[in-house]
Amino acid sequence: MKYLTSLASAWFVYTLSTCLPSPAYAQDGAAAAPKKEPAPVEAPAKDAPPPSPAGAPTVAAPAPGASAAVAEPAPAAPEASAVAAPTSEKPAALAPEKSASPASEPPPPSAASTAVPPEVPVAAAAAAPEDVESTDSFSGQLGSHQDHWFAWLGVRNDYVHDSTFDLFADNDALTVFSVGAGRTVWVSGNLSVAALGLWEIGSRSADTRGNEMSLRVQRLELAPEVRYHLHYRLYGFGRLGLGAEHVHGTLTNELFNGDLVSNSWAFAGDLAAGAAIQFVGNAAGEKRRPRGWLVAEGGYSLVTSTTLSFEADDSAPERAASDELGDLNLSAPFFRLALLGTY
Amino acid sequence: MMKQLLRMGLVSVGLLSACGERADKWDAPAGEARSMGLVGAAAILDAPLHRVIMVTSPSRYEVGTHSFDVGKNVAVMAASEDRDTLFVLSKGVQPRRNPGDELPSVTVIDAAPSPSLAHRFELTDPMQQLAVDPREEWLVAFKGDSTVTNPNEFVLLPLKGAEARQSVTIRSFGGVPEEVVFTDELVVPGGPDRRFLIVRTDRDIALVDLRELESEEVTVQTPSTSQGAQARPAQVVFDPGRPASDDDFGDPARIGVRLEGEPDVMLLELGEPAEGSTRDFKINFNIVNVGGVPSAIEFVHTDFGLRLAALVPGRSDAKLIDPTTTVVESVAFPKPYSKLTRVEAAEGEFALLYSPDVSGIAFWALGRASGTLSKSVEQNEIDLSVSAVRDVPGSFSHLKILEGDQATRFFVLDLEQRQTFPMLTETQGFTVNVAPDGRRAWAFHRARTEFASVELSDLHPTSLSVKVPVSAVYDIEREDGTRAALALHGTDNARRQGTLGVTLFDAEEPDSADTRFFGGLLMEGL
Repeated sequence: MKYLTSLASAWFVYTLSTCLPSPAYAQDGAAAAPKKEPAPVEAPAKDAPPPSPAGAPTVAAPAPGASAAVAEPAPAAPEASAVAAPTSEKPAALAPEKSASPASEPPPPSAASTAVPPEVPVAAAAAAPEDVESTDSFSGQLGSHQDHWFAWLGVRNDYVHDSTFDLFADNDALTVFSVGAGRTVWVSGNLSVAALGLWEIGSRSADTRGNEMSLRVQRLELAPEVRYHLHYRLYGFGRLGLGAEHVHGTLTNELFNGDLVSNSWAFAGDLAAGAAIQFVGNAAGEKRRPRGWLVAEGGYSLVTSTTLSFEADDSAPERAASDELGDLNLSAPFFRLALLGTY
Repeated sequence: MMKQLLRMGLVSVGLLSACGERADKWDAPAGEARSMGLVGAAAILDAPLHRVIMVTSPSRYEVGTHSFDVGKNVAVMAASEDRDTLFVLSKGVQPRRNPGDELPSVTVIDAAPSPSLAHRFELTDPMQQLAVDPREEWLVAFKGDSTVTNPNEFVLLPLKGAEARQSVTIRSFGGVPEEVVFTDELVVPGGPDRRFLIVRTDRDIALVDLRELESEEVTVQTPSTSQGAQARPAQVVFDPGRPASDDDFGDPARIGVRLEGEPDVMLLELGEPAEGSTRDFKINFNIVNVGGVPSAIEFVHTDFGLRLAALVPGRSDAKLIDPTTTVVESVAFPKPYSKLTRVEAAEGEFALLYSPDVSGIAFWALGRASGTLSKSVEQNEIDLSVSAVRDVPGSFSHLKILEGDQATRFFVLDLEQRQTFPMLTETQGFTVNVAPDGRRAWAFHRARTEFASVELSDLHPTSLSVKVPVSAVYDIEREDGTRAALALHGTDNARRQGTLGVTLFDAEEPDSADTRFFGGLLMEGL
């Protein structure tokens, strides 16, 4: 277990180091933007008029590689203005508007800005498809990174250390697949609460003393999840799941080539913690866009004991007594990987 | 990057999955599952898990199981004569290299009224054979099985009293023990009556005094054969003798020995000890030629006294040897019978003669055997070559069950009426078990689902049917005195894959429509 814990930690660190962009914490709407949010990439046209000095202070668009709170006028701004402006007599005014579009702060009042019609950025963005990237960069608003509908597809591995479980498996692993959906129900700053509904299914089987024995478990669970966004692409969470688990066991008795079946229900609960990393999706939180997340979590699953009482089917000899094979307790620590799609 | 993540995730899941291998017991095969019927339970040897499962029936529709560890490498599983105790000899871990490695042992399990562990003897060396005293006073483990063994060593384990276990090595003239016979109390001229352990080796006979284990045993070598080799003892019988009284000289205890392939029979007598001898007896020994190779010998009591009867099938006769004078009388039989069973009946003692090679049986009246020899044999022509005669205990002890090899019938022999009642079976190969209470017999076939109970009071057969082929049937007693029949499935090398099962019947009123099936016996107690 120590080894596994180390491995999981190493994996987590590795994932962070390879998946995350450069420092980009921007929850409060700071002007900084991640490196991956490029500024307009077109080189400034030689014949483009220089940016208006008056507009320069209002420009919040980062230059490539810029990390300072206040950037110099982007070289692309004239290009953008050249493309977007229907006329060339207002380049100074257009450039700052274009580059200011992702910024959260309103431009300071100036002669140039007041002269610009408010619909121009929209028009500019619409008219310049090559600039979508720049318009979808993270603005500092978590928005739909945090407040979203989501669907879940995962695989969980339980480490079941129950001796009765050994009837069905030659090791302690119980792998179950999870499908679920949910919605963020409450948001406050970086903190949010989501509600999740899960259906899980998994099975094991083994040859036990000449009997083919199999176990199938299904779980329905409702789980409130508390999240804290460390970054718009990363959040940690804790979850308490409550639900019911159906345990279905079969025992193939080759004396009469028939099956004996055990069905039972148990109360189940999960206490889990983990992290989710957004690996695909639009950076702009204001827009409701589909996004993909990778979720890794660990925890403990608490399940009440169920009695395995195998009842014979019609192929069994008449008046076959049930095979009582003891109590099964599927409580176990677990580790889960999941793909989360949000919208 | 995604591929890396996926790979690492799979590795993580894989590592978790590999944790916690299950206990070996779940992977143990079913094994041959040898079974044995006892008074209150059926014993099933679960050799792969080194245990015996005792199957009982606490009430009419219930089956109970009790599991007992009996040690690794079970060599012998034997029941006492009254079938209320089970003895299991195991060899333990061999070779034994660690202090925790299990020693060879003998486990004693009481089967009635409720199975319980009575005792466990640990041995220092593994043995291959176990002899059970019919009186349950002694167990003898012999025939060592290790790198260096002393085949003439016997480990005597006391089942009653405070005697300590004792290891005895008999004197050897190169022989290897083959069988041990526990005697009754034999009359010993110079001391109190006592029991002996007679060891039959491949070339001599040794008498171990069970009253004085420290005393040296008496060894009697067999005569040489015509080829010059030492004759091989094939059978040992004894007569306890009759103690002398004021008006009776009594009879000394005698031992008869049949020799393999030889026409000679050895007669040993426990006579008066020689003067100055430290022993209480002296062995007097005679060799009697019976004119042919005998197939069986037995001490019988005739109107003229004790005789040693020797069947000589090659001559279709028997010889009656007067052990005092060694005079031999012949009794001609209509058929070459090779086996006999001595029977006590109201009209006197007689022998039941039979043979697996010829059909029919004969009653040989021993009381009038001498003097009226021609009238002493009564032939009964039955269409069966009898290979085994099963006793019926209890109130129907005048009945015998006659079985043949691969026959489509068996017979119930009424010794009082001298009548034989055929019981026909659908196919060959039926096995017959007699209930310990002697009230019924069970006939079953290992590959069939039909079997039958035969009520011995009126010989009424009740046909029964189950869904799974029957491998054995045992009639056991419940704690409340009622009886249950356990029809086992999958035991005793039955053709199967997987678990064992049992169908429970009411033995006294068996009915196929009133049963209960229990599967998964091998899972019980794990």
